[in-house]
Amino acid sequence: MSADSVERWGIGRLGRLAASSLLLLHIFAMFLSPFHFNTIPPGGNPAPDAEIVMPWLRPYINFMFLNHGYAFFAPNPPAANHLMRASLDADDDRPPTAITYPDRALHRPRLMYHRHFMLTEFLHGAYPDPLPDDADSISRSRHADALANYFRIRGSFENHLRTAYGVPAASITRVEHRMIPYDVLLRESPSLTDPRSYSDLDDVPASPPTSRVTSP
Amino acid sequence: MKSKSGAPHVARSVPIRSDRSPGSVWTNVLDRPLWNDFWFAPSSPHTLAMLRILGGAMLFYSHAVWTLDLQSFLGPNAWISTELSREMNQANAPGAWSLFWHVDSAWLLWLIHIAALVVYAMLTAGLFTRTVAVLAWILTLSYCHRLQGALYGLDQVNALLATYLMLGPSGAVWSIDSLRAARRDPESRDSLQPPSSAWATVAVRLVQIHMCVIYFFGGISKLKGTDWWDGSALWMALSNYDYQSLDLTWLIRFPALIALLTHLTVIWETFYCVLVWPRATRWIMLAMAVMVHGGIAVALGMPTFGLAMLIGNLAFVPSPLMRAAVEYLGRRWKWLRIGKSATAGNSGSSPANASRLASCSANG
Repeated sequence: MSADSVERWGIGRLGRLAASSLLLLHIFAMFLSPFHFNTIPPGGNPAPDAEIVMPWLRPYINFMFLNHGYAFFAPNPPAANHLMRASLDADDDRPPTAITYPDRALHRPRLMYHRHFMLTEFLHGAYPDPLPDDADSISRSRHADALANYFRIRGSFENHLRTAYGVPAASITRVEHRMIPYDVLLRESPSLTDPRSYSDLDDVPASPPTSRVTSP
Repeated sequence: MKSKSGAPHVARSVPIRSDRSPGSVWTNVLDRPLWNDFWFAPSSPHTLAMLRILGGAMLFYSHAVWTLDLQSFLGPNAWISTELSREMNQANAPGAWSLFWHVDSAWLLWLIHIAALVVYAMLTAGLFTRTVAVLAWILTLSYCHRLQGALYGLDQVNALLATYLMLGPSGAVWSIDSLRAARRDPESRDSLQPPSSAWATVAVRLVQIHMCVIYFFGGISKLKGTDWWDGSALWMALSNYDYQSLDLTWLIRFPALIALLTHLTVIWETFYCVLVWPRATRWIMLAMAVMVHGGIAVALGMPTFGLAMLIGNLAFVPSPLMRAAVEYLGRRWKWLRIGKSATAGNSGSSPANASRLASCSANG
């Protein structure tokens, strides 16, 4: 170890070597996660080069909370947002109570509103698009897994509502809020909350399938 | 690259090992002054201390908000139940770990949550900083891994700051720790500078590089979309009611302006990782960061995320400039003088001096 290098860099040679190795590892992991994410086409698999080292680094990346794509409003800003309507059934003859999530008046401060907004987007994001009729068995198996995952999340949401509000039953409906097209806004100047821009989304099937399709 | 003083490095000032033992190529590469000066040249801790104060405050606030509905997000029967959270992580994110997966009782959850808020407050104030910085990191990761579904960019920046703040001496200045040290040793009150540290450089460099990675992938992800090319992306964001916190839809009358701002945003984001390093373009990049993230904070309903990204950008403000700016403000606003004893003894800090100091900065 050179004394002047310690003076110049504050850390001895061995210390710098150890620190440099850890820094390289960390920066590689920091880069690899969004790179891996960006190589995945819709419904596809990651590029082989991104996949080679991922199995070794994945535990570190996950532990350090580096597992992000950083795709903020990308590849395009959303053309529709996804909210949800909770229906709470009372244990008498009163009609069910409906609550929309997120709700600007109910969820304050703004950060709390945004947390609920992320939850409803998360629920919608877990719902798999319907399969085409001619889908192969691998796609059917993946779809069944994704659907089971979606119903677990929806079930957790509904269980939370039952517990939080003390009601015997609660159900959730996903609601889509579409952006009003540019030319319509320019021509008609409708409100951004025009009722025509909201629609309910059905879950197909409406409840968890009892039997799973398995791959051959 | 230039040295701290601005002069080119003398490449031979550090002996290069001449042995050819296994690993010598690797070790010689890591002995190069370019690499070592970038990572390990000791720097004063003022930039890191500012990241601690603002990042700690952001950690405190964003976690304090959970207090309003703690059980709904972190309790056993939360939106995502504890059991489901653990199982989803095991399936999709092996390696992740959360303290909250092992908490079943309400009182223990409250105890940990309140302790976490105390830790974040102590980090912000700089009290027992080295210890609470490590605790803040463990707690932040625990919250993140428990709260799937409710997370977004804010949490990514929070985790980034918590991780790197624990690596360097973020409490060496502008902290209760530094005031206590000055009280214990009155002679240090008159010292001109807190000690420079290689770990202050390492911590700030990691924040800088992480910000570059975020912006680079943020930029190239946008390049895959059509809206960022046809100039409509900004409009799509501004007219999105569920995000909107300030109605800027009157901008619909200025489509060329919307398209220009859209294109400037994606160009800035993509090339930030290159243009933020040279002094000539750094301030342009940082000024654009203020505009973009300020816009997100004010108009897109994400003030915490916008501010967190701006805090991350502060890593590119050199320590001497940070110090001069705080001291300048301290003379204007007397309540800011709490850290005077720790940074003491200087004179003549002014915007002019600050810009002179910036030109001989260590951090970039």
